[in-house]
Amino acid sequence: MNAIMNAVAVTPDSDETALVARAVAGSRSAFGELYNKYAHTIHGIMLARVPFRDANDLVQDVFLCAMERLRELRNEAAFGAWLAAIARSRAIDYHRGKRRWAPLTNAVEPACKPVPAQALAVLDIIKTLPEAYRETLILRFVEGMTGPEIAARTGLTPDSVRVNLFRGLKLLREKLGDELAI
Amino acid sequence: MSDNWIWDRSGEPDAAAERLERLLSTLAYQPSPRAHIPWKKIAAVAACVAVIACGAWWWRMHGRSEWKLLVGASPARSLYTGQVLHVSAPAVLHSDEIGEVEVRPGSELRVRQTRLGLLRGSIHATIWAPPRQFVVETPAARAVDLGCQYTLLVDANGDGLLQVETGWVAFEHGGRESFIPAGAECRTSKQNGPGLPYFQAASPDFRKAVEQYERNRSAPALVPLLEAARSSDGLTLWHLLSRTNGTRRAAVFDRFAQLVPLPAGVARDDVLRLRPQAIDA
Repeated sequence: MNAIMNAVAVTPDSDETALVARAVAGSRSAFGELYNKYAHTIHGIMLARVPFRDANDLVQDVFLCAMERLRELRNEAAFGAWLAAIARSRAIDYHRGKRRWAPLTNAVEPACKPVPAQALAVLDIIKTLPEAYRETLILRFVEGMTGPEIAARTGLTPDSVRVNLFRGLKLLREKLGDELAI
Repeated sequence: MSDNWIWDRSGEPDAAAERLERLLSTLAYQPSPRAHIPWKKIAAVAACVAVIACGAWWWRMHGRSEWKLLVGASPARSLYTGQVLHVSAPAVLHSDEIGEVEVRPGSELRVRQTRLGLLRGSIHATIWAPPRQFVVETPAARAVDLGCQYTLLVDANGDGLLQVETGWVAFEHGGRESFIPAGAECRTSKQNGPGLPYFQAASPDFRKAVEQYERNRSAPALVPLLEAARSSDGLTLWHLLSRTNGTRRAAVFDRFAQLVPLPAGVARDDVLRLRPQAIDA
């Protein structure tokens, strides 16, 4: 975890650093604000790695884990990168079969509203791209984050995000062809 | 492509990228519009209630659950769909519409609107809802209440044991079903799903033979099972019919027919072919 934090550039946001400090000190409302800020980021990271239907539940798992491990956070300014690392690790666990729950079927309780089949088809194509590109594309075009926001929330440098975004989009365009005329 | 728009939405919109974003935004994270996390409540409850560990997590994803939590003499607490409970003291989940579930210490479960997910531990359920209204998911199978009272245990590996006191429970996983009546029990494993149910009053030899058969399901293991079966073990043999084929199924049927009078009009061939009207009779 420390190696990851040392390898990425961190642009400290003093307001967020103070928020994280309060959360580490035990403030549940501060942690709630962090959840509001990062839920989309974590969902995007999950969506790049696990089936769509399971991503929402895994977002919960990630924040639960983060809540339990907050005291391990060494650098409050790197909260986003730390949380993203937990999410990626959780996705690996998911594929190793360490899923905590057999999926609850939704015959009585629909879990989410229907989504267009074409959206899922494009998502499947994005998931065939290299990992760095797919995560950035999903954060930008699914979760609606800008390039600077992606950099700030994941701990990547803006230059890295820019490369991932434009190269990823170029590859996506080649795979989609005329389907979406992008 | 307008690079600025793609980067940070400044400048002229890029039409194609805008189209892509419009399509893919339908997949974005969407908590309930009513969602809020009662953080202070989480901290307060975690501090004063032994039942729920500090890692417990309430989500108002789809509103309140039908279940309320009772611990000792404390007032009933509402629960929210998606909430995870780590139980360290005896607790009861109560629903006026569904029934009552005693949760044993050491259990971990997730609450849905009417269903429960038991990851590990033990519950004892008394259900008054109509059949099939109450479902408990475990890592190895789904228990569907058919109007009953039962105990369900799940170990750390996710394997389970269901013991029915009154009524019936259907145990389902991956297309495999076991129907467990009052006085019977059934094991389930993550690997194989629901096993063969048997009556708790079955002879030790029969129970041992069932256990050995479940381990490897070989023809030689079937022989002691059939030899040890008595007329009261028809439940197990009935389930075996659909889990065997060819000569094994024939052997199961022949033993079954020796022990249990067949209903009128049920032919051997129909049973061996698993024709529904013969099997269900």
